[in-house]
Amino acid sequence: MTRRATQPSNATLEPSRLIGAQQMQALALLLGASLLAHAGWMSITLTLYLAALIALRVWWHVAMARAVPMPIRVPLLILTFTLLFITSGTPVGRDGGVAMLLSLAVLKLVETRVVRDGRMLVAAVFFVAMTEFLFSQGMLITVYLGLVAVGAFASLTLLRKYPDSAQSTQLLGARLHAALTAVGRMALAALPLAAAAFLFFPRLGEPLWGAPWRGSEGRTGISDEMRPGMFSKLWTDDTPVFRVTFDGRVPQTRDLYWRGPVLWNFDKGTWSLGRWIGRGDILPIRYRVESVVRYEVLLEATEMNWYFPLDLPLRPAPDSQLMVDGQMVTSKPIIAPKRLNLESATEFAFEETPIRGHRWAALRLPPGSNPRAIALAQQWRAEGKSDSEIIEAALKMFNANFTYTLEPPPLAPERSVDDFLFETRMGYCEHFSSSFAFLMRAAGIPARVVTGYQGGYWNRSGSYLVVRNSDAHAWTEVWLQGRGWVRTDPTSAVAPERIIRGSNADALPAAMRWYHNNWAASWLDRVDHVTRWWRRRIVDFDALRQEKLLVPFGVVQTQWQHLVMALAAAGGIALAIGVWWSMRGMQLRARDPLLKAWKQFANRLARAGVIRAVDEGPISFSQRAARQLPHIAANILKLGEEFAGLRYDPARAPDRPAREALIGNLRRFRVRAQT
Amino acid sequence: MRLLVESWWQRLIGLAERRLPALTRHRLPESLPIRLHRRRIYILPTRFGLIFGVVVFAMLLGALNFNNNPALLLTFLVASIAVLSFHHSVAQLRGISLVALRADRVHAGDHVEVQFCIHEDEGRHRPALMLEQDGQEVCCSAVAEQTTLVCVQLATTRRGWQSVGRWRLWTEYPFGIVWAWSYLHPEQKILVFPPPETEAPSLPGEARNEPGTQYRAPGDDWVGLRDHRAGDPPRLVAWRASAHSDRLLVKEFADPVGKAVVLDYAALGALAHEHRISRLTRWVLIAESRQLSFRLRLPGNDLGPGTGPDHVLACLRELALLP
Repeated sequence: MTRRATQPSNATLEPSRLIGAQQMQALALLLGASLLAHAGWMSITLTLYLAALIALRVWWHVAMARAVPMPIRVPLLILTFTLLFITSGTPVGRDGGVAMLLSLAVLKLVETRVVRDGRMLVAAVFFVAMTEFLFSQGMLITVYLGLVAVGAFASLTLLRKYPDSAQSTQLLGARLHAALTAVGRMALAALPLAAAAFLFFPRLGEPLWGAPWRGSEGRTGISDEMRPGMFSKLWTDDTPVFRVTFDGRVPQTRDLYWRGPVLWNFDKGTWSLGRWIGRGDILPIRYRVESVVRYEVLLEATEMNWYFPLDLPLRPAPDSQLMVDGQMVTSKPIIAPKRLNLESATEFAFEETPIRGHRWAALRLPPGSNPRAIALAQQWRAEGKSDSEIIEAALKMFNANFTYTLEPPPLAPERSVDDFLFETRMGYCEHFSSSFAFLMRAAGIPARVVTGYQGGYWNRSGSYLVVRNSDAHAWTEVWLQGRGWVRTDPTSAVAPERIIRGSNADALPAAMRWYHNNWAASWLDRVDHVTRWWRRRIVDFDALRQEKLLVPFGVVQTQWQHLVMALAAAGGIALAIGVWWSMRGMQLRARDPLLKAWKQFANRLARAGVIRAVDEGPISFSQRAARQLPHIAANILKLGEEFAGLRYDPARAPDRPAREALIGNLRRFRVRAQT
Repeated sequence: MRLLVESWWQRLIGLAERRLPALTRHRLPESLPIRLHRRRIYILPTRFGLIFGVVVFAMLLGALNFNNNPALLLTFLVASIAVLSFHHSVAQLRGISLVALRADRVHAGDHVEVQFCIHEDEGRHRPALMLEQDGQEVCCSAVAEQTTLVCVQLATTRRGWQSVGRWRLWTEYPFGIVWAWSYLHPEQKILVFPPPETEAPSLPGEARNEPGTQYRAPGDDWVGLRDHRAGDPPRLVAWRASAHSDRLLVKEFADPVGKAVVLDYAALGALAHEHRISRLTRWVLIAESRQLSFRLRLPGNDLGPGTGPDHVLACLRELALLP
C-alpha cells in the first residue's frame, strides 16, 4: 500500500538546474513551430538560417553536452544581426521588428543552459507567436498559434528542476504526448473563460499609440501603377481581396466593376496616378435613383490606400476621401481588415461639364512615343470620323484581329503600344486598356485608365460575392461631349465572356478550372463561408458589437462598468465549468474495481470491530483480523493474500480471471456471527 | 540592509500572528492525521510567474491597441490556461493527508530518517510535490489512492522528545507560474536517545552465562519443570508432561541472576549528570550487542534485570527522559 520516495537513494530525483536533452529538444520544437508560423512572410534566407541555428543548437547539446562557449556565441550574434539587417532592414517597423524578435529568441535558445533560461524563452515564445497576427488574422493561423501556445505550456511542464521519476525514462515523444494531452485538455477547459473575456473585455476606444510600420511590403494586388506584365502575377493568385453582401438588389455581372486607382499619366508603357487630382466629397454626377445599390464590403488588409467601391460610389466611406475622378483613397494604408457600408449607382452620368485641367491631362502623351499608333489614330481623325465612330473603329479592330490570352509575348516599354497593336496582337485587359487609351488620346479624345476588379465569384452557400486577386482588371474611360466620362472596356470587345463570366472562365487552361467542378465548388464555397464568418464575427468584433451583446439584458447604454460586471459573471461561470471539467479528467478514469471491492471488505471488517490502520498493509491487516475473528480466519487470510498478490505483484496483475474471481469473493464476503 | 529588512519582516509576522491568529493558526502543531483543505493552502506567483504576467500584459496591451481580435483571443486563451492552472496547483495539495510519522532509533547528534506517510484518497496522481524545511527539500509524488512514504533527514542535538518541526509541502505544478503551499506541523514527536559515550570503560562486573548460574523467577528463559504450587497460573501447566507422571508439573521460566550486570546511575557519582547518562547509554548498547542480561538502576527507577529489544528500548527510553 505504500511507496517510498527518498532523497538520497533515488537517483532519478536528483535536482538539476541544467537543461536536459529532452527539455532542449522540446524547446527547439516549440521555437521551430513559432518560426514556421512566420515563414509565410519572412525572407527565406533568414528563415532557413534560424531553423539551421535551432537544429545546430540541439546537435550541440547532444554531441557536446555543455554550454555553447562565448567564442562561438559572439560571432553567431554578429552573423545573425548582419543577416537580419541585410534581409529585413532596420528593426523599426513591423517586418524588421518581428524578424528581430524571432532572431533574439533563437539566440536565446543558443545560450540557454539552465531551466530558468528555458522558462524565459517560453515566455518570449508566447509574445513572438502573437506578433504573427500583425501579418495575418485568418482562422487557420489562429488555430495554429493556439496550438503553439498549448505546446509552450506543455514545455513549461517539462521544464522542472526535478524530473518526474516515472517519466524520466520515457522517450521525448511519449513525454510530449502526455504533456500535450494534459495541457490540451486544460486549453479546452479554458476556452469558455477565454471566450467570456473576449466578448466582455472592454475595448479601447482610441489606440494608445499608432501603427508601428509603414505598409506596402510586396504584397501582390492592385497597385498605384500599371506596368507591362504587372497583372500577370495576379491571375494565379486566388487570395480573396474582399467579400460583398448586397442589401437588396444584386447588380448584373456586367455592372460589377470595382473601381480602384484611376491612372492619368502615361510614360514608357507605364500608367500612373495623376497626383494633382482634387478631392470631392460629392462627385459631379447625375444618377438614376433606381440603380442605387447598397452593400457591405469586408475588405482584407491590402496594405494599399484604396477601397474598391462598385462603380460609381456616391459618398466616401469613413477614413477615406473620394477624389473627383471617382477613386476612394484612404489616408493610411489598410493594414487591418475593414468592414465598409457603401452605396453606389450603376447608371450615371459622370462629369458632364469638364473640370478645368481634366481635358488637358487626359490628352497628354509623351512626345515621340509609339509613332505608328499615333499615325493610325490621326488617320481615323483625318477620315472625318466622330468621337464615337473612332471608338467604334478601335473596338472593331480589337474584335477582328486580336486574341485574348493570359500569356502574351513580352513588349518593350518604349514601343509597347506599337508592338501590341501591329505585331503581337495578343494580350489581356492591361494591354487592351493601355493601347486603347493611347489611341483615344492620339485621336484627341480624353481618356484614362481605371484599374480595379471586375466580376467576382458568387458563393451560393452564403449568398455573397467573393472578389479575388485573380479578378483584377483594367478598363478605360473616355470623355464624350454631353455624356461625360463613359466606361469603355476594350477587353469586352475581344473576350466578352471575360466580363460576363469572370476572369477565369475563358482564358485559363483547363487544368486550372478544376474547381468549377460541382462537388469541389460547393465544398470550397463552404470553406469560404466559414472564412467569411470568421472575418465578420471574430476579426471585425468591436466596441459597437460588444455594446449590442448586453441589449437583451436590458442594458441600453453600455458603460465599461456593465462590461466588467458581465465579464465577472460570465467569467466566473466559465471558470467554474473549466475547473470542474479539467479536474474530472485528472481523476482515475474508473476507480479500480478491485480496490473498491477491497474497501468494501475492509468496511465490513470495520463494522465487526477490526479497523484498518491507514498505513497498514493488506497482509498484516488480514492477519490481525484473522486473529480477532478466528472462526472465519481462513477466508480472511486467503482473501488478504490473494488481494496483495494481484495488486502488488506485477507478474500476477494481468491475470484477469483471477481478478474477477477475487472481486466477486471480496464482494460476497460477510462477517458471520460466531456460532 | 538585508538584516534590517529581515528584522522588520520578523516583526511584521509577529504582529500578524498576534493580531490575526486565524491567518497563522496552521503554524501551530496539530495532531495527526493532518488533512490539507483549501482554506489552509496558500498561493502566490513565482518569480517566473511575475515575468509571465508582464508578458501577458504586454500581449493584452498590444492586441487591444491594434484592436486585433485574433491576437486578443490568443492572449485570453493563454491567460485563461494560466488562471486554470492556479486551481490545479491548489488541487495538487488539496485532499492530501499526513497520516503518520515514522522514525528509526536515533541517538542525539546523529541524523534520523523520518518518514512522512502521505495519503492520497481522491484518486488523482499528484506529481512534483516538494517537502521542504530549512533548505532541505525532497521531491515526491503522491500516487492515487495510495500512501507514499517520504523520507527526510532530521538532525538531532539533545536527548528527549524532539518535534519534527514545521514542514512546508509545496508545488509549482503544472507550469511554475504560481506556487501553492501548506504547512505540516505534526504534534507527534520522536524520541531521541542520549548520545552514547564514545570511549566508555567496559561493563562493570562483566559476566557471562556459565554453568551454575542462579536464576530468578519469573523470567524469560525456560529452566525446567517443577511441581505445581497453589497459585500457579494454569497456562504454565505442562499438560503433556503431567499426563506421563502422576504429579501436576508446571513449566518454570527464570532469568539468570548470579553475576548479572548492574548498570547503576548512583555508582557513577564522580561524573556529571549528562556524562553518566551517556556512559549508561553506551553500556546498554554494549549489553544489547552481547545479548547480556542487565539491570539498570536510575534515580527513582529500577529496570530489569532483563534482556531483549523491549528491555533495551525501555532502558534507553528512561535514559532519554531523565530530567
